[in-house]
Amino acid sequence: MISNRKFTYKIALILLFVAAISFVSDEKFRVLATFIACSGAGLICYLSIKKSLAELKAEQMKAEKKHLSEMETAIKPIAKLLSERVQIIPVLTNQLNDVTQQTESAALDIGEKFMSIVQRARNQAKKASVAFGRFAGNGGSSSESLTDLSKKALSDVIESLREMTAVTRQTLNDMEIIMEDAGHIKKIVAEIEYIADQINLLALNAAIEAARAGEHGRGFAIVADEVRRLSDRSNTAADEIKKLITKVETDIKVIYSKTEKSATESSARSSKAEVVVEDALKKIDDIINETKIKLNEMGAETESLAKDISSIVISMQFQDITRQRIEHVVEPLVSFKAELEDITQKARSMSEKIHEWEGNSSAEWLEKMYTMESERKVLKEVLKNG
Amino acid sequence: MGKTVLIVDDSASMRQLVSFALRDAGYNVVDAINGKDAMNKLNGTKIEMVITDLNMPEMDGIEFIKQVRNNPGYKFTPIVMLTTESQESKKQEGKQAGASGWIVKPFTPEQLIDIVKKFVR
Repeated sequence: MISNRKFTYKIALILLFVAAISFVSDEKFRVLATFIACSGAGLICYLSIKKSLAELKAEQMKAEKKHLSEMETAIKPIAKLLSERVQIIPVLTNQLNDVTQQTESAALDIGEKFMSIVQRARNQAKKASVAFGRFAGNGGSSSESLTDLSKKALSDVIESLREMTAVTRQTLNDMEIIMEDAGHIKKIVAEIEYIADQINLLALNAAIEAARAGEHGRGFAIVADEVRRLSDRSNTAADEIKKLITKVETDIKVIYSKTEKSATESSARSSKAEVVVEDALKKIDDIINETKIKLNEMGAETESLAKDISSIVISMQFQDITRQRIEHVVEPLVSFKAELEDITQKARSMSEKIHEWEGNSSAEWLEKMYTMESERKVLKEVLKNG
Repeated sequence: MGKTVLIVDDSASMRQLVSFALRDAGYNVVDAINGKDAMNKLNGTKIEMVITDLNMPEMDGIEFIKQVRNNPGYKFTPIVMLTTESQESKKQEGKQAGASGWIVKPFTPEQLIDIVKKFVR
């Protein structure tokens, strides 16, 4: 503003000088003075413009420095903030990696536990099947089952009872035959008694005839007497046989009666036992069949459970999918960190350069940066012309 | 004696559950944590089928498939890719490397066993 006023004054003085010259009568002096006045005015204009340009440049430099300072002020906290934020990224990635590891570890643990449940359920079903097999005889074992042995034992008992009843019946039949034989013997004894009586009668007649024959019949009388005695002895023997046979007959009848009673009772018991045993065997069969059905159901349930658990274990693959998705988050984060570090570094570098610019003019800064004489020459030429 | 399947996956839980499903179906299982480990385990072992993940450290599934196909002993061994990638391009890349098929996670045990039965008879 001051320079503008001074410039106006100088121009006004020159115009006054030119006005004053116009009153000079000497033409040559007037032309010379006018030329000098014009040259002076031109010089004043040049110097004034140069000064104004310098002032303008200084103001521009000042504004530039102010702007740079503002930029530095703005960039510094951004660089600091970026630097701080960059430090957070490894924490985030480590957190995500830790979550992945923990999830994987948990998934493995759950998987193992589920597999163990399946294994145990199957083992239990297998054990139940083997135990049932030992009991019921379908466990694939070559040895006889408990129920088979029980059935056999019960069947043997029934068979023994049947055999005993049959033996008793046979005994009764045998006794009946003996009694029949005894009856025959009694008839034979009666025949013997009849014959002995007839012989006795014959011996008596022979003795009578021998007595009548006198001396000649004495020998015959002795024979007749002997025959009579034999007849008596036959009668006695037959009588004893008869008594014995009667006794045997009586005894056998008693035994027969007892045996018959026993046989009847035994037969009844045998029939009853047979019914009981058959009922027991039927019940055992029913229980076995029922247990078989239950066991098959249990096996099917176990297999179904195993399948369900297998599906659960397979569905644990969500963990792998989650892991990969987290990895897809971590990978860009790592890349992002590197980029942010680069940006931070650039911001710092920019801030440092701005700081340098603040201390020096652009020309000084360029001069400092240039390393070749040719570069400096171009700079000087531009500055000189510009 | 059951057929042997090689499982290659860097995820322990995936190896565990695939092994579980296959063993449950009566197969023998050999597992490896990446392609490199799998190549070491393949060496001379009788393997009827390979199931491999694609995204693995050290040696990924595609490189592993290429190396398996370069081994004359396993030139025709079925290789199924087990991956979350459902993109056609990834499948094509695997097929070009020599994979026989793929199964996309998540899968059911039946799907897994069906595909194994398809390749191992």
